[in-house]
Amino acid sequence: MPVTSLFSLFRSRGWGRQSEAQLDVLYLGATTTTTATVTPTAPYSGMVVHLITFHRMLPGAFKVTVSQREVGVHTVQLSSDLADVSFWAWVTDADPLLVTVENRTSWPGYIGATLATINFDTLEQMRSIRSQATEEFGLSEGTLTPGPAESSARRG
Amino acid sequence: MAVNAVIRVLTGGIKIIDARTSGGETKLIHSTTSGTPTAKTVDRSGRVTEE
Repeated sequence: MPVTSLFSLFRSRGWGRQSEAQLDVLYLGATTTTTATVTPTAPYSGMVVHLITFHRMLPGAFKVTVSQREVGVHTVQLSSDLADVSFWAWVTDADPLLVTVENRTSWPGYIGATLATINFDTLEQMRSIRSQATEEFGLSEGTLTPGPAESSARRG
Repeated sequence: MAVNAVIRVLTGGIKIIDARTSGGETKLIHSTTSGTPTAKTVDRSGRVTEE
């Protein structure tokens, strides 16, 4: 099941509030790894993070790992000056998203990321919508998490 | 101790609750599109210091 069809379902139903959030690693020392723990912020209590687009980076310089309880661990070697990392993570304070960036070069670097999210006001709302989406796709509970079904890198 | 990473997040539905960097400190800068940025430093033990 492509992630895009799941996203289309959410768009067509008007579930959640779509937004993009900017996360910039302004400075990352040579051969250094940093991990940011990301959760929803007020007024939202839950969110789906479904795409991270990386930009402003040196080709081949960065390795990115995304991990979350349901997604597991998903590592991508960024290979151009623009790369997309697709997955489907239901993120709450209890289940944060961890984004790890490794600078593989021997000099300092920087990288930008845009997180595409679908935000929910309450955890109850997120649970209800997740249940509806699960039913519409005819999936058993707990499988509405394509996870690292796809990842791609493209030239910017 | 030297700062090995500086991370900025513009509020848009997400927040960074902590960040760890191998071998050094991480400086977090939270800023809104209209507000003043605020910085925090996370040392290698995970202790957060407001600036």
